Amino acid sequence: MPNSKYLYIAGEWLELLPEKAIYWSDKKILIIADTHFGKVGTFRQAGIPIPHKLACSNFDKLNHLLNQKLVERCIVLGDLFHSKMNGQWNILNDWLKQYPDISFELVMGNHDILEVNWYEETGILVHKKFLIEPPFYLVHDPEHYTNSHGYYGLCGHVHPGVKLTGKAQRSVRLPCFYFGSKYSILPAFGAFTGFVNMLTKKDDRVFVIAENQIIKV
Amino acid sequence: MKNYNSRLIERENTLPDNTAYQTMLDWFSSRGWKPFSYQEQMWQAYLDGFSGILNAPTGTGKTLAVVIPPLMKWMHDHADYRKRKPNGLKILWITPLRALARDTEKVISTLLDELGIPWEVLRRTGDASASVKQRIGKRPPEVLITTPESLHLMLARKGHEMTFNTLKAVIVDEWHELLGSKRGVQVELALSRIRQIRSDLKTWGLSATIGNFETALEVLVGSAEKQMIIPSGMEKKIEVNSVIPDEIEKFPWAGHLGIHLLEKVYPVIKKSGTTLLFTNTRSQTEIWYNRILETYPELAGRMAIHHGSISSDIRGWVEDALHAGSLQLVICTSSLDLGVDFSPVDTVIQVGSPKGVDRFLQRAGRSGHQPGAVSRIWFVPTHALELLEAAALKTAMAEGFIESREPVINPLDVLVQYLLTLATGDGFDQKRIYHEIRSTYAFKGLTEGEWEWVLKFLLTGGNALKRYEDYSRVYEENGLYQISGRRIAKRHRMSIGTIVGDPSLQVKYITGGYLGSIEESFISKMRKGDVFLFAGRYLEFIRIKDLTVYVRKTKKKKGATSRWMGGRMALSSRLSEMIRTTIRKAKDGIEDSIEVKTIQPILDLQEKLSALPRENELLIEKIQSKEGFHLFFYPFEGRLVHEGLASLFAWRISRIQPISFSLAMNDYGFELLSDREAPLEEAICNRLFSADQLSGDIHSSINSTEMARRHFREIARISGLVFQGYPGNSVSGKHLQASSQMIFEVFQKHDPGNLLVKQTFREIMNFQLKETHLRRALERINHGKLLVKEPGKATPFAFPIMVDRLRDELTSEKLYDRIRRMQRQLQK
Repeated sequence: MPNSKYLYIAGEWLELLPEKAIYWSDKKILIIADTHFGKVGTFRQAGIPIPHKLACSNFDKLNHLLNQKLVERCIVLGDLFHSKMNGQWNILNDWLKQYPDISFELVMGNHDILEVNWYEETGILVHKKFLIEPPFYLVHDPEHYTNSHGYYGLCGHVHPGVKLTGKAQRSVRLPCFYFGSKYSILPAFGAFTGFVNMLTKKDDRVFVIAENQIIKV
Repeated sequence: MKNYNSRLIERENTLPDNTAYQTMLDWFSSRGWKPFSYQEQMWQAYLDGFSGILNAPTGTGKTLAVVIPPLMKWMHDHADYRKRKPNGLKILWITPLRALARDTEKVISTLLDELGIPWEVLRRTGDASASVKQRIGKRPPEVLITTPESLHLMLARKGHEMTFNTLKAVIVDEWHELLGSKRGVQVELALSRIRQIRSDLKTWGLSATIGNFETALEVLVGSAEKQMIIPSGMEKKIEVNSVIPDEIEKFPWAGHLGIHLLEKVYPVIKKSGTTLLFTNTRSQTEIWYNRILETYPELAGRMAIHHGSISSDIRGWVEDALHAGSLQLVICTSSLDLGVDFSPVDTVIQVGSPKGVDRFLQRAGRSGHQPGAVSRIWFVPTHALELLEAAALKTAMAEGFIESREPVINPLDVLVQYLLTLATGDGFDQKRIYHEIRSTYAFKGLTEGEWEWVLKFLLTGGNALKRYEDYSRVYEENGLYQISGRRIAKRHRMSIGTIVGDPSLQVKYITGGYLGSIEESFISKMRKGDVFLFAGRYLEFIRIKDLTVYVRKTKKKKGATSRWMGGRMALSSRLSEMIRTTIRKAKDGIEDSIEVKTIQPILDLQEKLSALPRENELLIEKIQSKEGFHLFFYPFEGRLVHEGLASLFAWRISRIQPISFSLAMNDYGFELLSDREAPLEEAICNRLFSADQLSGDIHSSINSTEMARRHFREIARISGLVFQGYPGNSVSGKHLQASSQMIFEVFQKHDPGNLLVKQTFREIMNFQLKETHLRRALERINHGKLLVKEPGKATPFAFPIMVDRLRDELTSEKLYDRIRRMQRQLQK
């Protein structure tokens, strides 16, 4: 995949993918955050007609990644499923059955409000608060990251984006990967999730996702 | 104009035969009045069974003209009319403004009291208490005063037919104001429903003078057999003066506050009885109020502030004080534009361009309410070029010019909302309701295909969909469409309406006491301890909780002024035309108004640096600055047309070479700003101004700008696709938060047949870009001369556009290439 970018961090090489995922090739781990499966269903239940096709696009993107990369574990950094039960939970379960050899794991986030055993029944391995996978500390909300173990944080929750400005008063907003000195924040994987502007510091490393390319800014 | 006298009518009941007529005459003379001839004409027309439009200026007793005839009929038919008994709803009064409702209620109550008719008059507006709303459903008053939104809320109740089945007359106040908006369509829809319940309903609209009365009549009364327009035949004298700056050289070239002329405005206020000072925005009222209070503390206690976001209690207090004549000055926005009669008001001041001749006339009409009195209005320019507008306004008024209001056609978002309203109430039978809807002017062209799409959109969420197990909004049972569940019904009732603002939060003192509402986009930037100006006072921000902003009073005298969004008004096409003429006259030295004489030095400078264009010339200026390369075009066609022309030109130029523009515009011209020089000459040779393929080119150009996405916000809100959240229930609201932009993108990508998306583009073409005006403007450019100048620095024409920070963007470059030249914003 020529559009991806390799980043050396905490002694490991991570590949940033324009699908808004990180591939850790040494460990064969795919890391994504904030998939918000079921968000479309939540809206539809409330009578807001978000087209169903949109929900399928999340699975298409994941299928593509899982076919391209050799993946043994797929870790979701929280907000796997958007809130209450709806029909898309079954679709997610059916989809998971296609990959019996991959371990799907969830570090729980604020939207993951279903009963824990429901996740487990579908074969998802649940990490309630955080997951340590040296040299990384995986947690949903960057505010819950602690530096006490000396591990570098990989987080979600924020749906980060940045605003870029140029001459002639032009600007553009794009979703991004954020790498600070202590932790990183992944862009939200799910479609229909949006993103918020982050103010970054000079030494932070920021990679925007633009038209299927990863660009360091 | 259809005239009642020219028709042969079989009279059932001429005025002198009506037993109540004498009672009315007695009542008039008891007050020392005599009915105007238009009032008697109106009474007779009603008794003859007509519906129609009454064209009467405010301050001439139009309320009495329309309310009296149904009363006369009632008194005539019911000898025991003085006995109190439950009669059911008789007269429904629809008003566009809550502020008007109070006044109307007072006039009608007084009349009923003095005639000894024991009828009840109630207001049902957004301010009404829950118990009043409840009671109206169960035991309706004889006279109900309401807004289009509140009327639809009544249709969302179960058993609404019961409420209306005794109704005799509907009166729509300020019909001209509703006509050109989606609120007008709401009125049409509600009337189509009520007419099914009451086939002999009489409908009367009160309207100021507009250019298209015939259409206004057709929209309001539809196919009623007997319909007519009654002109009042009364004209008002209006006197216009401008506040002229002493030194035009020191007068700013750009700006919108006008506060630097305060010293010259004060004498006008001082020598008047009561003055209304109109500004164009709510934040401007806040600034003027505080500056006046600081500069002239002697006005404390005798001045007040009035705008749409201030709590109804405070507004009500201001209105009462205005009536009583205890205020010397009220600073207000369009919230006081319409019909309320404040007889003490003898002077009106307009700060900044009123943008249209009719709005200016309407505001002028707020003063001099006694019949025969002269209305006086002062125009305060906020920047130099506005003096041109003042001169143009005067000419337009001298020529007795009238603008038209075009009704809205086929707004499916309003239809979706209306059907949800009916589904929330008793449910609807789709065949019956289709016929009702087709009887309205707005939807007479609704095709069966569109109708089926709308029904499907309600039932399943639209065409694109194959599996809809999750979807619930409306369900069908035995041919009856009903809302799915109480939650969706509740949410819908809270979303009824077509006025779209930013999500708003209530402003309350921490010790209690409601002050008004403020938009989230403004308050979200506040931190604890920050001070802001609201409702004329400085308030310290404490916290936001449950959609309420808690504040406390502060002695600090500095802080942010509250801002509200809301579209900026554009200059009407007729006034634009007048301005082009005024410039040409000024150039030729044949315009001798005081305004133009004052601004002459600035016009001279413009001519020296660049040029003053005649009506058949298009001036283009090329300027280079450290911001980049600026191209200024001055068609003088009003901001809306400029928005379209700017996108169109930017798009056409960008097809020659990949380039990005940021676009800015005002009522006089627009700017294309780029970081590299744009190939202007090549573009001009390459049909830059061509009117061919206009629709296609506009479509492509707005596709790549924000315009469509921005406009979709209104449509998404009206059709219930975005929801602002329940008060005090923000958590469950959060699961449903999605910006209309996101929904728009999803629809475009995954549901290309979506008619609401199509409507977005159509509305942009018709109302925002004004395609027909755009075409005319291009033809004018094509038949005229081009003046391309390189003035070296910003000219008086360019300056106000250059400083405008509200910009659009249009690009044909690859995102990757643009990002390469950009930087991310860093934390400070």
